[in-house]
Amino acid sequence: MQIGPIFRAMFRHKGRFWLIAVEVALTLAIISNCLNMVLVERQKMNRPTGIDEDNILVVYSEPFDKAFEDKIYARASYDNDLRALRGMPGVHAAAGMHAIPLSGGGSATGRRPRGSEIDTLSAPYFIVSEGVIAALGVELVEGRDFTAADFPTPDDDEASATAEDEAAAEPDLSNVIVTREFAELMYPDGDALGKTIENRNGDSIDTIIGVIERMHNSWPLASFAERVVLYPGEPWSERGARYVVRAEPGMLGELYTTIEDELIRQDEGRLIRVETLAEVKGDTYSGTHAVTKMLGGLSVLLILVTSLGIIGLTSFSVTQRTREIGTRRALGATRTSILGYFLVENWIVTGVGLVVGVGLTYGLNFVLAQWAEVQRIEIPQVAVGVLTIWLAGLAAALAPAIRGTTVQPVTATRNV
Amino acid sequence: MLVYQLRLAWLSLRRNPILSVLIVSGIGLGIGVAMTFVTAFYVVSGDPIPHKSDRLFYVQLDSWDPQRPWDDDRPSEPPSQITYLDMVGIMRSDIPTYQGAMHKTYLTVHPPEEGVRPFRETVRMCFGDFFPMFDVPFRYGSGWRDEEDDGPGAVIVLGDAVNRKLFGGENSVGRTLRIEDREFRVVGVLERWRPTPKFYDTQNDEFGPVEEIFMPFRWGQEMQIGTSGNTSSWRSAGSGYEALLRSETVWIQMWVQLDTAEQKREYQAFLDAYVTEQKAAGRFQRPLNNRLRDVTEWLEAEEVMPDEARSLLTIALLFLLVCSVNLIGILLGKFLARAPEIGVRRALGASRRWVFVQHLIECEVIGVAGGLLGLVLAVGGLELLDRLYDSQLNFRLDMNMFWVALALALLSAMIAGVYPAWRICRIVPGYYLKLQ
Repeated sequence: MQIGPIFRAMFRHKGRFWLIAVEVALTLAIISNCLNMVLVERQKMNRPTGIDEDNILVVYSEPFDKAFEDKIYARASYDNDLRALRGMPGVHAAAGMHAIPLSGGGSATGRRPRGSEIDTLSAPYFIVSEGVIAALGVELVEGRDFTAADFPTPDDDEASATAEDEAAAEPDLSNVIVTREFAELMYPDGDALGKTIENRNGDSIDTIIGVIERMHNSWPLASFAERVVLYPGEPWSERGARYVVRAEPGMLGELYTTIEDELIRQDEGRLIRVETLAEVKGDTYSGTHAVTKMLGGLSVLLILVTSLGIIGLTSFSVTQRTREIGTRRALGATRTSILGYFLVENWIVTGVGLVVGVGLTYGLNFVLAQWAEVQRIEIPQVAVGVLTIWLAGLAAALAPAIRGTTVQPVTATRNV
Repeated sequence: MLVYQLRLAWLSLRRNPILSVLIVSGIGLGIGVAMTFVTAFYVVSGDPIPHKSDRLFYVQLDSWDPQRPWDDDRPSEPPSQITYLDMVGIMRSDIPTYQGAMHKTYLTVHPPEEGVRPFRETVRMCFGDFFPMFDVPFRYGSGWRDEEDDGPGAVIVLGDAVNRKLFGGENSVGRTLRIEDREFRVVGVLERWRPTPKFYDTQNDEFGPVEEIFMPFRWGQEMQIGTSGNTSSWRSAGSGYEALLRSETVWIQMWVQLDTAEQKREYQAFLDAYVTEQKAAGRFQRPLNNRLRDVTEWLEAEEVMPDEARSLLTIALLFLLVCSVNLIGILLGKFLARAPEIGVRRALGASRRWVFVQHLIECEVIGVAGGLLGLVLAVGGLELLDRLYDSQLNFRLDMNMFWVALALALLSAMIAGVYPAWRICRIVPGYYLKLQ
């Protein structure tokens, strides 16, 4: 196959082929960047949370009966709920939490290593009951779980402690369990177990008694998603309580339908809502999910449009050169060589387009990085983009090219 | 002459209907995609209350920790909410035309029908001025009067959705509803109201749904129910509702309406005087840093617009560009196929410029048709977006978007048509005449 004639023939119809090249270049720039953005978002969404999401239900108790305004009653209801939940068939473990991981709602405070001079760092935390490790399915890798002794005795007398009262009192001491990431944040040498952390005033001192390998806090898409501090305490209030219930394998569906009735049976004076943790996570991720769908959809549409463009231009090119094809055939070219001719032509044009496109890709990525905080693109994404368009272009050019091979040699002799 | 040229354009399109449909669809698709994301961008970045966004101001006071700024990354920023003490302090002013503090919470609603279980609903605790200040549209009744703020009167305003749920959408003004353990009288029902973004409360869900119930602020104290929105504090508050009210915890949003520049100056002076007075009492140990930002400034400071809106807009406009480039080839083929006819016209005296303009006109006619098709597609596209985001955002096409669509369509048609029109006007008439 001689490349020379192909090139020279292309030069005679420059405009048309530059069009394909420009379209290919633009399409490459767009879909490579879309791929980059989709991958970044998916990576955020696919990060393991450390929690057994597929088997966990979240249960909300929202009281409306006045009886709940009495702390003693509310506490008894909370204790009773946990007992009832743990007694239900199919429940592996249940615990109370003041906020739910992955939900987008939660609390954070500031902590630093005890005695250090640095400013406190953000410490997302959960107030939890006993059994939270089992209920979330997180992996405890150092130290121990909470025992009954870790929980402060309820003190109902301090109904309206003032800030001044608290300042004058003894420092608050607590045993806490933290995630490995938080432990390393506090004590980078990796020996956090047994060490203490404090707040800025030094009136809250926590001792790390256990380390979890990984757990996401309430903000799973954030960069600090893996920082968690667990405080043993009373995660309920007069306004209600939240429980995480981990089901035995396969029992999630059944529990989903029976928990509400069971808890209403225990106490009718409240609303019970049940969600799967997977649903909660889905809601938190829904915006990000929507964006990836849109980017994906646009990319597919774009490849379609460009392919149609290539089909059109190649078709037109073939029609324009019917006489030339006929002449070649008359001079002995086989059908295959005609096909080959057009395909090589297509590859050259697409190739030029792709080369220009790579430059455009980095250019577009730069603009997006500046204006829309998009992450820098990397070679694998560009490579995938190049391959996809090359194949799509080839597929698009195939049909018109094959049609070109059907031109009869006799057309060379006709004048019409 | 223009009429004649338009007619020629129309005849040309009609001669090859399939090709014309293809070309119009090409532009239509590009415009449809572009307009979907242009509108989305416009909606999330736009002014939610354009007719008075420069007269509504969000109040910020820097009551924060003397040792550390509110935001380490932006140390000159005051906190984004205020304390209860400060709310009481500054609401004594009579300078603003309207003023209102507010927060959100959840309360249990007991439906009027027997046997239907109660449910929890989002409630905005606010002052009566909320409604005229934000020009909230009412279907029935109105907001409550100032006296009800003080009482507090047992009155509520219902949103459209909850009114449908509880009263079948009828005029429920005057009816009572049991919330928590008290009876409240409905004084107003809203039209469906979805300001996008939900600018009055950027602390919680700035693109989230509007609350369904509005209740006088002081009921929070009566019922000892605090906020379920964002709270922050730099100092331990003690426990219990009363302690919250006395604390330095920020949990309240404060808006005022100031109609004249002088009013604004006066109010700023009032705020500064108030804070200075508080400093003497030992509070406000940070430097004086009171802010009055109007709606646009506040939205910008809060960085409300999501980054995705920008990247999607960019991609969508580039998509339109590719669609236009796509059409260049098709138009080239179409125009050159009619070279013989053009050859005759040129031989009969038509100038190159006439031929060029004629073909551009044809392109723009295609453009207009494509633009209209694109708008129809964009309606569908926005519907899809609406569904993806659970109908929480108010994606709506308005007249501005119509003009943008038209402008984009004419531009794309121009991009697609300039080169083919140029090519066809340069043909040599003689060659094509001989070819007959």
